[in-house]
Amino acid sequence: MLVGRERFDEVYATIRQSACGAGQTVLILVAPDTDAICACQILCRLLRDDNVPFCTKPVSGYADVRAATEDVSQQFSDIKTIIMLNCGATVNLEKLFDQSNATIFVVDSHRPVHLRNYHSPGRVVVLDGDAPDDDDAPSDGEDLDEDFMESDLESDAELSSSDDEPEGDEETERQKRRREKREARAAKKAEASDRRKRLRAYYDGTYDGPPSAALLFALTEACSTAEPTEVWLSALGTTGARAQWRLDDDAYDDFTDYFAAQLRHIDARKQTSGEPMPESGKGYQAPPGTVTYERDELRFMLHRHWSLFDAMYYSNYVAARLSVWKHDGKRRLQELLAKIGLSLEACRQTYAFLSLDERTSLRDNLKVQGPAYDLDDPFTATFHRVAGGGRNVSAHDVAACVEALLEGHFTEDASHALVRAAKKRRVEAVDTEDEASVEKRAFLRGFWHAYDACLGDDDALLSRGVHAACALQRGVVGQAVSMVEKREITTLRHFRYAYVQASNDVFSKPLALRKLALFLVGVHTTNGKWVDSKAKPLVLLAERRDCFLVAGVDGREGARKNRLAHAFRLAAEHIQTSSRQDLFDSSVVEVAHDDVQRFVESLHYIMAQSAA
Amino acid sequence: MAEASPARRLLEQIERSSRNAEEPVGEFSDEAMSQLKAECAKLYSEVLRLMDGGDARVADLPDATKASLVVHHQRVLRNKECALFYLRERLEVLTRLRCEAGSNLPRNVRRHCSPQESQFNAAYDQLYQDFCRASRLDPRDSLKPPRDLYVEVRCNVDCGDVQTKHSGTVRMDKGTSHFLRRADVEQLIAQGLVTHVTTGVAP
Repeated sequence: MLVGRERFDEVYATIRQSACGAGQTVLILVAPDTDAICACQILCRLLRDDNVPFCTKPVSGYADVRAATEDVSQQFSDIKTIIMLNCGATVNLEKLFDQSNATIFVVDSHRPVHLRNYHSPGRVVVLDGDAPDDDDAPSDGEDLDEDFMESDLESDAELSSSDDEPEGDEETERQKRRREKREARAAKKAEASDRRKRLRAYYDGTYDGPPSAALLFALTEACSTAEPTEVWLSALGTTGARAQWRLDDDAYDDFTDYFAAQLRHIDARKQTSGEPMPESGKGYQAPPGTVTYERDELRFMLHRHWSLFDAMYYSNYVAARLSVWKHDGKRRLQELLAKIGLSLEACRQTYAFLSLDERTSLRDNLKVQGPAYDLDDPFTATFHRVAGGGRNVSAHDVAACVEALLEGHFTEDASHALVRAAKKRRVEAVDTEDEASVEKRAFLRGFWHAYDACLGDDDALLSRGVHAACALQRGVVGQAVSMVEKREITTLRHFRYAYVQASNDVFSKPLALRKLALFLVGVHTTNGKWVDSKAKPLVLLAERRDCFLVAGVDGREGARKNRLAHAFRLAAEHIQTSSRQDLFDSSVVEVAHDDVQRFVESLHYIMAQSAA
Repeated sequence: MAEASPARRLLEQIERSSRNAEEPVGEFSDEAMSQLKAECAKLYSEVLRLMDGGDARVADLPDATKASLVVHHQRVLRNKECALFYLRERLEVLTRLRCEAGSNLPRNVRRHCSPQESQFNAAYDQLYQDFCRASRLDPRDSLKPPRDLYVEVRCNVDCGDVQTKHSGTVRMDKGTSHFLRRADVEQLIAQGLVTHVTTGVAP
């Protein structure tokens, strides 16, 4: 069942009702991405306020979800409601949870929604931004796992076999019946092929719906009053979704405007309810938890936390437009900074050391000088929050930190060398422990670090996140530059691909690999090399311990449909390799070491076929 | 003097342990105790010798002997006091830990206990439980009323299926977070199996 915004209050009422009296009835399964984590925070705040006992379980892939289904199906389990955040919409959940009778609520930005979930009578409820339009989804299908085609064939066979049965006496009668049958069969066939076509069209390519955090914000609004923290969290989730290109810029702007309006409502409500409003003025310090809307946030990644030069050099926006890694590009960047009126020395210092005058002049001059350097719009809208330590953090920075913490990209500086040494010792001590559980532990640690970093209240964690994000971004840009300079990207007729040869295992994580792919696509789209007819999907292959991680990004910008997921699956089936499409993002797969070259060849073949 | 006297060593150990939160109870120093006992025995036999086997009247003895008798006697008393202090301090720490950490003492503490102390622990635990049962009170409960009825906890280890009073059976796997009645998880928090997550700044 698909429900739109206007019925969110019913959804929450159902969840709350199921919790009455009994024990722990709510299970939340959270996918590892920024959006899902923010959505989870919002949901947990809501449930906490209503004293609904719940359990939050991070899941890294469908294997974890399956494990959770087993727990739920236990006899003693009280779980009556399962909420899935950014996972589950694209698979048949009724089948997956067939052992239990819990109601499953899905908030997932992955599309298309599996038709079985779409048309579920009420066991599976998918929350969506807009009210469902019945014309969108074919109602008579359920699955594209190839078996619907088989079932069609079967029914054909049935028809033809039943055809032989009747043995009438009168010739004319028989003929008449036969003709009727033939017509019926033709009609049925036409109907089946029509249905097949509709199903194909529905399942053709994956795309992304509204971010889950935004939907959860709508849920909060529907059933209680949203606080500034909810605005912050949903803005953070939206920012995270945009950073991964799951949301295009226009949609992002719409969401931000909407959140800003809600923030104004909240402030107005507080004012009318007689809460003391802060007197702004010199020396005024906003209390922790204050969220403000910032229209002109510089698009330089993490610029408050490292030097301005690095922030510009490594941010996607500037790097793509100026091609900074080339000699010419770097010179142009320095020229721009000189025109703005900042000495190179000042730019190499931490941003915090710039004087207030310099910072204001930076903004003003950038508006004037930017267009000459292709930086026509170096600002974006975002939100700021006063964190617990009195520090002002921006949603863009925190989103980058959360993403880096999530996959555990820690830096190699001295303080962490110690930690690493200790970890190494421990790992050696438990050498018998299999790699899977080590990986699992790392995943859980990363997840909860990211979860805790969302509000930015923990200064130590946040600065660790900043370090990690800077290191990750440096790694991404360095890797991308080396790939471009060494011409490692092979262009085929229907897609491009490249092997990522990195010295460390940074890119063996799906989000980081996707980040690299997006950076490459962004650079080449901006400088006009991969546009129009040359725009093709990019497939990156990164070596992992025992397999290759393959991530595909559609070369064309925007929330267009991505056909790679389907092609990946067909290619894997074609060469009969043991690929694992276990992750929630179906455009990332794992392919066994030895099969990877054949996988690329077969992908080429399949893409050619589907284009024909 | 090459080595500090056994009594001094016992006192030093107590002082060290009181400062070390990681190891509130040091290893039971059998060696110092037996040395201390030997010293006392030696002093006693010296006293006897000075008193001619205990037959002589103190008043008859010369002043120099009287003085050494007093010194010897005080030394014995002092040793006894130190030994008793040592034992008592350790027991006090053990009883305190029983209240703080629950019936399962931390492993490093259990390892350092002497056999008598282990016996004491078991007996004290029994007594404690009897008291709780009889009075239907747990002295370990906080005196302050809790701020929230429910708390959020995060599992540090696999706790398996936990039976709770209010929320039925809860599967507590490592790395999951739970929002449960405070009373249900207080024990687990005290044992360090789960961490209490405080929710940042008020909105």
